[in-house]
Amino acid sequence: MRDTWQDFIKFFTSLKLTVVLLALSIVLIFWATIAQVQLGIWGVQEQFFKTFFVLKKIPGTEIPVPVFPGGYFIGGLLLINLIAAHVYRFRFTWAKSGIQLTHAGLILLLLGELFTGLWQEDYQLRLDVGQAKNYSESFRDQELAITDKTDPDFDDVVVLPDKLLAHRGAVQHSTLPFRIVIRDYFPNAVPQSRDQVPANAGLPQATMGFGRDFTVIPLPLSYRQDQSNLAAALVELIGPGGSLGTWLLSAHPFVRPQPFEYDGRHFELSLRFARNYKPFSLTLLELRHDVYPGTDIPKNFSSRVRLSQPDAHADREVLIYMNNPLRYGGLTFYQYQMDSASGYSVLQVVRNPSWMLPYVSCILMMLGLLIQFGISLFRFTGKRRAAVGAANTATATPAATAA
Amino acid sequence: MRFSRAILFALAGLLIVAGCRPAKVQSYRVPKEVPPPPLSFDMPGMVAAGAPEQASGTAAGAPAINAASSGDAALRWVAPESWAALPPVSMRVAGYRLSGAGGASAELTITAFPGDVGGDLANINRWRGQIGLAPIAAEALATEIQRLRFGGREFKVVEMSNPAASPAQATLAAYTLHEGSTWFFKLTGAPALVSATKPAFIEFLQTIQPR
Repeated sequence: MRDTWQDFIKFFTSLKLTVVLLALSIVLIFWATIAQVQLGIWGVQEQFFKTFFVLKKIPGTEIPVPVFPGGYFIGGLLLINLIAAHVYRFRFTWAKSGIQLTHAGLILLLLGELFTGLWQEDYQLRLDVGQAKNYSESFRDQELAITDKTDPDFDDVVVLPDKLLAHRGAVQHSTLPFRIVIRDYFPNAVPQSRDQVPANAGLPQATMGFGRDFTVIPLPLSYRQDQSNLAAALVELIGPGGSLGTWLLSAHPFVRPQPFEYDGRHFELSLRFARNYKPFSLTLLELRHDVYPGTDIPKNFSSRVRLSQPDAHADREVLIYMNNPLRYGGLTFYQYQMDSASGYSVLQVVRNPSWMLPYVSCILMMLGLLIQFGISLFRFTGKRRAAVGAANTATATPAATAA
Repeated sequence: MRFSRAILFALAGLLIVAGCRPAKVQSYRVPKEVPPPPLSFDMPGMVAAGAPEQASGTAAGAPAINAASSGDAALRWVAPESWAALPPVSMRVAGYRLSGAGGASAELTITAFPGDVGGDLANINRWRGQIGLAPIAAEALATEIQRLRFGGREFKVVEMSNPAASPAQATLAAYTLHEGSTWFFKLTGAPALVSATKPAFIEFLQTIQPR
């Protein structure tokens, strides 16, 4: 057991492992850069970096097999390698304090990337002029929302994230008088009028709402940055007395929430981009797209918004423009997109609790390098001074002898 | 030594956790939402919030999916007089019925969707599936698509026919990108009529321009 542990330590503290991992990371980055032409940034991040393995399907099948270590695998092993080497091999000495400080910065940088992957939330907030919103929406994740609209003052919402929909199966929630059964799920699909598809095409068919006249045609997942995958789901609701019907839901912007009544309550079913509600609201007051006089070259994109949070007595106007985001409630609102002709602005909403780590790690690495090079420089100048002193003494002695 | 092991195991655990975050059902209460304004995406046929519901299954007043008409479309065109305009339905911007000899008929539908609706291969294979043809591979796309340019606008035109279907069916489709949406002009019906209509169809494409 002890030998096994020693082998384990030897493996993880090995410099050879560092070199192999660095070589693998070079290959991974090169491959991902080439693949970015086809997949876009998001696709490359998902398929190459935010994964333990790069998966490829066996030709002619849908079976994925790992073909190369992914970013989490290489980065994770590098992190363990670096920490293990410090714990077991390196001993603190003032002469090497700079190197160790630099390594500490590197460890913090790797940890920062891990924490960002774990905790960062990235949403968008699209506002038309005059519109107020207290939620932002995911760029990619979608959710099935069952909204109880019975009360005139508020809505009770139950949401099922798309990852759950992908597993299909049934969900019973204590606040709902029926069970939700996911009959089918398509991560990307386009609605199509039922009269445009053959009856025997095997496409989903619903008995209620939108799906009586429409079906959806599954599409392959798109990884392009300028395209969204619009999910669709076939959902059956089952009450104590039996099935209430099946609904076809689509995240397509033209498909609006589908209302129905049950047990004296008014419900709406929708598949939408995942929402993140906030205790405050933003209202878009004005958007500006300024250009340099006499040209079409953009000079400024800005959104003037009103930030309101009655329970915190916050009610103020804020101007958001390039490099001047709004930071509030642990969130940062950046100016992201704008269409002044259509009168809407899109803000990118980011929550990243570990946003300071890259700055701290860079400072640590900079200090470490300064200390290390400083120590070397002082040692070098000290030796040089000693050598010059010795040489002066050596040249002075024969002269004195000659004299 | 024990402390060092603990650090290594903690790190390994952290990395494993990084890969798996469980999806959970959530519930919450939110203030009533103000009904959304009409979508700013320029989809022809949309009606403003508050308009009477026309298509089943949509929320009352919803601006989407309601019956479309070519009157407010972002593109306009001139159709031959012999093509009988069809009443607007669901996501169709406009439609025409064509009649030929011996009771042969075909239908031209005009629809628009945001983005490229899955790309060339997905579109062509969808249409092939609609008339009972097997899908083609991506390599065959180059020979399948004919590119035509009229007035600065590029159309991709595809033709397909399935004489073995009952009844025999053919599709002649053209699509073009306009303001971020793909516009589809799809003629489907009896193969002889579709084939005979091709010159008129190409002339029709030349009349298409922004409103």
